Amino acid sequence: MTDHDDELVRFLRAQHPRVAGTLQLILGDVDVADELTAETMARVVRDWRRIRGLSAPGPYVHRIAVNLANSRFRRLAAQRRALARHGADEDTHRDHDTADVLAVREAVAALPVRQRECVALHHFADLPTDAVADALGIRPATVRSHLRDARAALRVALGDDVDLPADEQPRRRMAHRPTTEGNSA
Amino acid sequence: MSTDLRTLLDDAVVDTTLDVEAALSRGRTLRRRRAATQAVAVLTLAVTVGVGLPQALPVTRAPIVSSVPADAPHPLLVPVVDDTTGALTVELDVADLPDALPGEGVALAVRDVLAVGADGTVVARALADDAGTSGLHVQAPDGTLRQYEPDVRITAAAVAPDGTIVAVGVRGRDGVVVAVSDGGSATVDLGPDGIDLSGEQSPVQLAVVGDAVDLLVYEEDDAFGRAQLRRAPLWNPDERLIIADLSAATPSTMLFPLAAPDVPFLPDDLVVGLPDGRSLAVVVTGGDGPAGSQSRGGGAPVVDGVHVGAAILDRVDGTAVAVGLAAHPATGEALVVPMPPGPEGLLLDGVALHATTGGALWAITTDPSSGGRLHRVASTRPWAQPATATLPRAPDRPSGDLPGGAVIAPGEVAAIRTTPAPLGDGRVLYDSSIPGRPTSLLAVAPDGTAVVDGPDGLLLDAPDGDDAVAQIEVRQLWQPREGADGPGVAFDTDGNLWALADRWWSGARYPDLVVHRPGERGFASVGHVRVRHLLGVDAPDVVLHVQGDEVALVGAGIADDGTALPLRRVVVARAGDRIVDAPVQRLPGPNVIGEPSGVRTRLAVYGFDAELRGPFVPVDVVAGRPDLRTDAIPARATSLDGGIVLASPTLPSGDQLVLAGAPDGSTLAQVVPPPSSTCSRLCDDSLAAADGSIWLLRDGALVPLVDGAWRPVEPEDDAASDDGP
Repeated sequence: MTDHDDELVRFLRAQHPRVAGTLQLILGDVDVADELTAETMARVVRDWRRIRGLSAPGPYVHRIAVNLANSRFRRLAAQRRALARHGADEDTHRDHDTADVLAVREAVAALPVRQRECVALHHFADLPTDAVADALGIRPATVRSHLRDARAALRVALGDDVDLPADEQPRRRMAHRPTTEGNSA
Repeated sequence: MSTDLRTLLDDAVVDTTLDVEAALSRGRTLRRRRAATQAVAVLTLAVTVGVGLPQALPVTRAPIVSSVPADAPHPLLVPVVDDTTGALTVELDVADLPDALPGEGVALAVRDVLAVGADGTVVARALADDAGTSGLHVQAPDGTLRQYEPDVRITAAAVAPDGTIVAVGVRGRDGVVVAVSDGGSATVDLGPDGIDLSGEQSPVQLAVVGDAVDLLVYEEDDAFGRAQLRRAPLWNPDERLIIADLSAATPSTMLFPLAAPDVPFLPDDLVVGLPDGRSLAVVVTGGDGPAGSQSRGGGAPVVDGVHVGAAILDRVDGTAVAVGLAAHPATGEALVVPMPPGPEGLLLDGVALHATTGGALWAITTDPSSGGRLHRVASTRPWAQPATATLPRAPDRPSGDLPGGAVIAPGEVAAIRTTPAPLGDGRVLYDSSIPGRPTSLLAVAPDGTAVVDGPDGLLLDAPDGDDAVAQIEVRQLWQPREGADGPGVAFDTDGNLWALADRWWSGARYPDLVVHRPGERGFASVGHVRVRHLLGVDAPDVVLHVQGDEVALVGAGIADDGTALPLRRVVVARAGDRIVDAPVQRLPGPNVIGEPSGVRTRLAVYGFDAELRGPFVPVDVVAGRPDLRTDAIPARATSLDGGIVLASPTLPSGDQLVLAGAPDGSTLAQVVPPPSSTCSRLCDDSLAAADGSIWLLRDGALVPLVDGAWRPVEPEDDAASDDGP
């Protein structure tokens, strides 16, 4: 493996958990998120020559992921319509998670898509609001507005179980997460 | 105790594992596929024209004389191996080529391709502003785009065999000769007293004669009602630019008055040049004539190097004279065929003429009341007996069909050598009873087979004298837009006839590439060609171009955002029937090409990847058979990059056939009643729902919805049982 490949693999490993989690939160479906994460990683490989030269490759990768998610939403909408016509249960996968985890997922899933994306990118993927705005193609002020609304909605949904200061800033990730090299925003 | 949001979110997501090797493999595949997508051969330039700008000058469109062969070394050629089929494709990568020429504020569009060099160099004229003085645009095979003499309005150009580009035009009101060589240009101003080189009054053309370039100007002498071709040497490799006194240029021996003095007309088009350097002028009328007269004409195609053309000259007394011209490819001898008008009181509404290397001359006449007629007006090497000729007046000719005997009277015009006889059998090969539909002769195969665009489809007539005329069920040839010239038809070296047919599906119209093979009846659909996607949303100049076994589209247009697209040569198929550039496009309805007829239907089904590209998979299905097994769809085709294959054609019975491809290469299908209003089409590309059954392609497997749950189909059940899913 060349140095070029080594650098690419390191980047992929650093980005993968962040992208995967972000997509899970946005899509609410682990399987689909995993599929799109793999696709995102493949596109990173495809465009590596260009991406490695970016000043902020991490946000760019998340932009790819969000775009893929948005495409997926369109498909899911058609799927839901068809399922609704036939009375099928859409959620076919199993969960053995705790009630708290399920509550958080439900609360996040209940957010409007834009708010969900902002929450995932800012509060989970650690992207600053400017980078979130760039990834979503909206203004930073709009991102901050979405975040305020999202936090308010989550506070209502989750009650006192969640600490949501109004001026909350992104913090470093939890220790068990891989480092986020290449994600200089 | 409260928990911060990030911790909650961290807990809410599920850790997944990155498959590095899979990502690398897939990414590299995507990279290759993208290269293939971008692989369109850019062979010419974008030049400008916008609403309100002057229309293109009536200069004959240069034929595409060359293209980059697929196996030629080329700096931008990208070999692409299709992961699905293993096929090797070599295309031009245009990723770094400019998409448009400068033209701020002006909608850009390809307009006139003036010449194409043997190495693929393309020369185009630009009309960038009202003055049309954006100069000469040259695009080299490596994609380099250069503009020369921007203050010159280019009229005509040619590429000499050594690669030198020679052009003529006007700067202000003065004639200019431009030579471009080795990246630089030189001009010679001819001054205001030279022959008008603007092309506005006199058609101007450059002809490559051996290794030199000649200028030819067609002029009409109003006083005598004569037309003449003025010819002067312009460039040769030894002297380079020759500053010719064009006004003193001796009219060439090709001077010929095409019409009698009482047939006034203004020339509107001109085709010159033969492979051996001999020249022929073909006048296609259409310009403004004196009051009371009107001229119309057809095209001037090139067949096997033979320039042919036709004109209809309407006399001021209301009668018409039709004139056809052709030139022998070897000798350059001209054949002039006067063609009488139709039945008394009717004016011919179109004439096209073709000649073959065998010497046969073909003509199509059409009048609005009786439809089209195809005539073989000359058949047995008429070149062998050159003679002088002139045109008979219309009153001198009998009305009705073309005569079979000698129709050219010798004598009056010494400059034109042609033949007095024989002029063929005069038989009517096709006589349509459907009036009103324009009929034209589209092409003549190397063996002399003529192709006619008749009212009921394409007609073929073999040169063996068989009276039977094969009619091919291409109802309508595709046109870029209503009334525009379509890309026509083209023969490949094996005699296969290619065309773009007009298809309709679910209310949408799209071009369908079809091929007719010798000995077979009808056309086989090869696939939907994304003409607008490839060549622009408004491709004004699309040509079907066959070279060797490559079938390509050449053209360009304006993109959705108004910018110009470079003219491209896009290989859409090979003689082997396979679309090599996957120029398929998602249709608004089911992803099916093909119209069921009878009990057996040939469908073309394709799958899509995330970028809406995918392989083209022909499938034979048997209608009305719920247990049908079709030709296997290649496994990769069905799951290409996560894409799927779904099809839902409507059968003659009105039922709907739902067809899907399984990853193992089999196909699943069932016949269902007509779709209900609530599910009149396949639902997106993830589900097939027509009769209540739903199929979902998930994780590469086709999964039916049974009792509200997705249940994978076991392999042994894959054969689409009689009961359906």
